[in-house]
Amino acid sequence: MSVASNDVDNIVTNLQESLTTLVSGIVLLVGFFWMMISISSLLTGITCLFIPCSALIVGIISPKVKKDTKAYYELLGELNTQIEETYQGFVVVKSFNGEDAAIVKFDDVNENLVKKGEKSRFFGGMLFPIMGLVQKIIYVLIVIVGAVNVLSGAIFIGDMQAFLQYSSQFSTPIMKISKSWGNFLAMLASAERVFSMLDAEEMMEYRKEFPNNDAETAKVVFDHVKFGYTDEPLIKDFCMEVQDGQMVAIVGHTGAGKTTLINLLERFYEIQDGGIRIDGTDIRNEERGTIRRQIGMVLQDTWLFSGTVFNNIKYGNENATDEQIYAAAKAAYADDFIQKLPDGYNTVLNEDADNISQGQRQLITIARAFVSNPEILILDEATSNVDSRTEMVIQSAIKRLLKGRTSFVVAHRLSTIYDADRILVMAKGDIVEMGTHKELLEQDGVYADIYNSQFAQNVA
Amino acid sequence: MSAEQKKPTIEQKSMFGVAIAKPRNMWTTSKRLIGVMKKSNLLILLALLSAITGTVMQVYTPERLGAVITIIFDGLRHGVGIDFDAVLVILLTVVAMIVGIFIANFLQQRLMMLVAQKVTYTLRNELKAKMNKVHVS
Repeated sequence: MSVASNDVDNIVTNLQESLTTLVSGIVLLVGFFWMMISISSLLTGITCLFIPCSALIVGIISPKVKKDTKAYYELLGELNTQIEETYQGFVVVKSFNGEDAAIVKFDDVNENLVKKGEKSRFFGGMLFPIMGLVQKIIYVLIVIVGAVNVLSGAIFIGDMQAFLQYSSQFSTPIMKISKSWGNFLAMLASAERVFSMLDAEEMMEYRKEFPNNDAETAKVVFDHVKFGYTDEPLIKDFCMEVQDGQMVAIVGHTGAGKTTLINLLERFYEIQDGGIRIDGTDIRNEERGTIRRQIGMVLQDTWLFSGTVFNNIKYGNENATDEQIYAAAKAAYADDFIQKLPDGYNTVLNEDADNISQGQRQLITIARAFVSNPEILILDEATSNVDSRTEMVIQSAIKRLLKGRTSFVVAHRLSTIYDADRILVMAKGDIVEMGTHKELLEQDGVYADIYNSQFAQNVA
Repeated sequence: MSAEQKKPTIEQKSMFGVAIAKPRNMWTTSKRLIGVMKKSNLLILLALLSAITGTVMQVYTPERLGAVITIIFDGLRHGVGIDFDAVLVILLTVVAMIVGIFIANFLQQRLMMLVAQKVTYTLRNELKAKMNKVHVS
């Protein structure tokens, strides 16, 4: 995002300034030089002495300054870390009586810093006065030589006056050029970032049609799907058919590909091979918006916008009437607690939405899904981080939400999915087991493993 | 955005520790930027022209003032009196040039502002169009 605002802004200001300044600076430099030569080449030569002289001075002083400045900043960083550490670890330092040691260490670094600072500032500060001195000396030289020339009649007095003006202004265009050159480079760097952004890999818009299969009765079909975030495929050959109204639970350890599967269905990422079909239509033949309208999501991190509760629910469907929203809230068992909020539906949720509890936030997101009334529903770990009573409320809200819809439920908690029509157990991007809760337990495989690990306490 | 992370822009510390951002491919980028500016070619040309005229006038002013001094000085030295007509003419041209510098500067700023706004407008639009096409990541 910073590319969009900062860099583009950078381009405006710098483009405005630097280009013309650069050109006019060069013209000024050439013009001054030409005028000076036309007045007197000897005096011009003296003026130009300034360049090697200053180069020499800079060459002698600036390496020293550089070295000291670098050391200075390193020490400064060290000091800052030290202060921060001591300050944040305040309690620890206090309780272990570490004050003295901390103070000694601080003094040490501080003293070093002062020394280095003095040194670098001394040389750095010297540079400009010395340059000024050289400049003045040269000016005096010009005046002396010029005066002699004027007296001998080689140069008009007025030209001499003009020359002095030129020579004293000679450094202006140089400064201008070097400054705007820096700006110019900065602008180019910004432009480059903008361009690289423009060149970033686009989501593929498929030109060709993918084979639909209208005869298909299944709601969602994964047909030999292959996908990987990098070239390394994560999901190699994934097949699944989900009938209308079925609830499919996806279980697996972290990184097994559960969320990836959801991302593919929503077309946040494009599959590399195979096909995904909803109602027999390949999702790549449809606009992304169309797909996403069919699919509702209740996500792991309940994202609420700052705004009223009412508007947050309405976000699911902008065209919903007020009655629909109240109905959705009731269906999601959210109505009760919303009524108890200080301003009811008009309670403003703040940015982190921490004026309502985690569970209440989830209920609101569920209400939001009710409002959008999708055919396909995706639940991603919707029931975690809440106390068991709220979880029960959420469970019943979800059950109501799932009724009559095709749904994908991603869950770590197996209690959510006992009554799923089908449970997929995933590992390393592949389905290892498939079946109902009962069947899977009887198989005594990975699912049984996970199940036992979660309910180990109960067994013991 | 991933491309940005892969190769961060080189930041160079200049003599006094001020960071200067350096573009990696100066020429290709410049070319492309010029390509973006192509639509406002005429405006840029005008701006540059006015910048150049302004500068040329700026270069000439001290010389003209010097000429005035020469005339006065010569008039006094040779005892023939000062050629006030010539002085007046030169001073008037100087005034004209100073006004000219002002106008040229003003024009140049104005024109460049237009160009810059246009360029950023197109860039922003392109970026916005792009945003809708890249991955969500």
